[in-house]
Amino acid sequence: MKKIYVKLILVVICIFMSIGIIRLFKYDKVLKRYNPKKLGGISQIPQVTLGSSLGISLLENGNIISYRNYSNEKTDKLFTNLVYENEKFHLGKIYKEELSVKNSGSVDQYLRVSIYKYWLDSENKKDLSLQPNLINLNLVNTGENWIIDEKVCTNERTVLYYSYPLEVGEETLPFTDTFSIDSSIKTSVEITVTSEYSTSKTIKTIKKGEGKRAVIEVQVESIQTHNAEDGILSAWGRKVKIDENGRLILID
Amino acid sequence: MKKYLKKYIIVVIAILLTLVLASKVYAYFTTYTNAGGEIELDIGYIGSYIEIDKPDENLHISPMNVGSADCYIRVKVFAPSDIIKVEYLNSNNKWTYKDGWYYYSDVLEPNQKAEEMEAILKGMVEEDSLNFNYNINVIAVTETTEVLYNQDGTTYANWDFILDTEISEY
Repeated sequence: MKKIYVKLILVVICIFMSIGIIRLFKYDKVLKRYNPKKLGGISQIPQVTLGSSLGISLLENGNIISYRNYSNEKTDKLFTNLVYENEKFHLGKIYKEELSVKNSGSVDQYLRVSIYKYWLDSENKKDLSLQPNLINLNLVNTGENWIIDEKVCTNERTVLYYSYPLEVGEETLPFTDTFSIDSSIKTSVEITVTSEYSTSKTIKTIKKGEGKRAVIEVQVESIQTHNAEDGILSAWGRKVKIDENGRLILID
Repeated sequence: MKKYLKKYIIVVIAILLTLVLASKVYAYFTTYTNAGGEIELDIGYIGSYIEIDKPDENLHISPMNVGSADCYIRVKVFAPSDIIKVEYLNSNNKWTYKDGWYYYSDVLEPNQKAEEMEAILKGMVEEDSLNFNYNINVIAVTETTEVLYNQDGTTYANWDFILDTEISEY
């Protein structure tokens, strides 16, 4: 009787192992499909192997401004070279600001970019009297390459997904190209009557934008391509579909 | 018993291994990086001061930017029109007449004076008239507005928005 139970258990184990092996092969076929340019298809199985690691870099106008790899990381500030030396920043004028992402790891990755823009006052508190849309970071290459997740976008936040897995060493097309602050803020004033008597009135005119700081924050996240649908749902809370070409599609 | 125990352990390990391979992935590799930047607005304030002098038969008008930000400036001179007629000399081509105002072509930086404008005062009354001696007040008005920038960096003025008006009397 015991021998029958042992044999039954062994059969069940074999069935499970078969299922596991079949799933591995199926994954192997998906890899072959979205790497058509590589002769023979895939270059490594599976995507996350021993010694492989994720690594991501954010580039501003072609220069790496921040990165996080397996063993090191660095973060610099944006806009440090926005204007020439001895030149003042001018409201209304458009400045070049190309932001892109590079895969500096050793495995292919899917990407998500979150852009935050807001105003700070002199006490480092968020200033809600000024609209974030006065800060213009112009988005480009949207639609085919970068998908805007309209579901979660607000005046302050924009979320983008890169449509395709970014291969090792590859750089995306830029998701922004220019930066400017609307010049209407210069003429935006707050007029208050500070004192009023029968024969006189004191009126105070304050420029709303004076001393305020326009802030832009960019966060780039990446995830393994293996089981990306489940991974993105688990890590980023977003339902997506990866089609047979590896293209990422947002699901509402 | 010991023989079966060994086999059971092997079986359990095999089942666990298979479950890991066969079922969904439980952990995901992710990473991130971020960067931020800020621009502090230095809008400043604009203001003007106007000097009027009459070293000769003409009025010499010199407006000046006394604010902390760049500005555009325009001037108008008022005099009793039945007694005095005002004509402007545009000897340095910096002033352009439009809609009753003279507009200075260049941007004035803080503490910068505009190039002088001369106003000729022509008497409308005959010299030998009994009522020839008049004390006449001539008022010069200057207005300033912010310098605004187009996308390509060129400047322009929006005279629908005026923050400062200065009046001087001569």
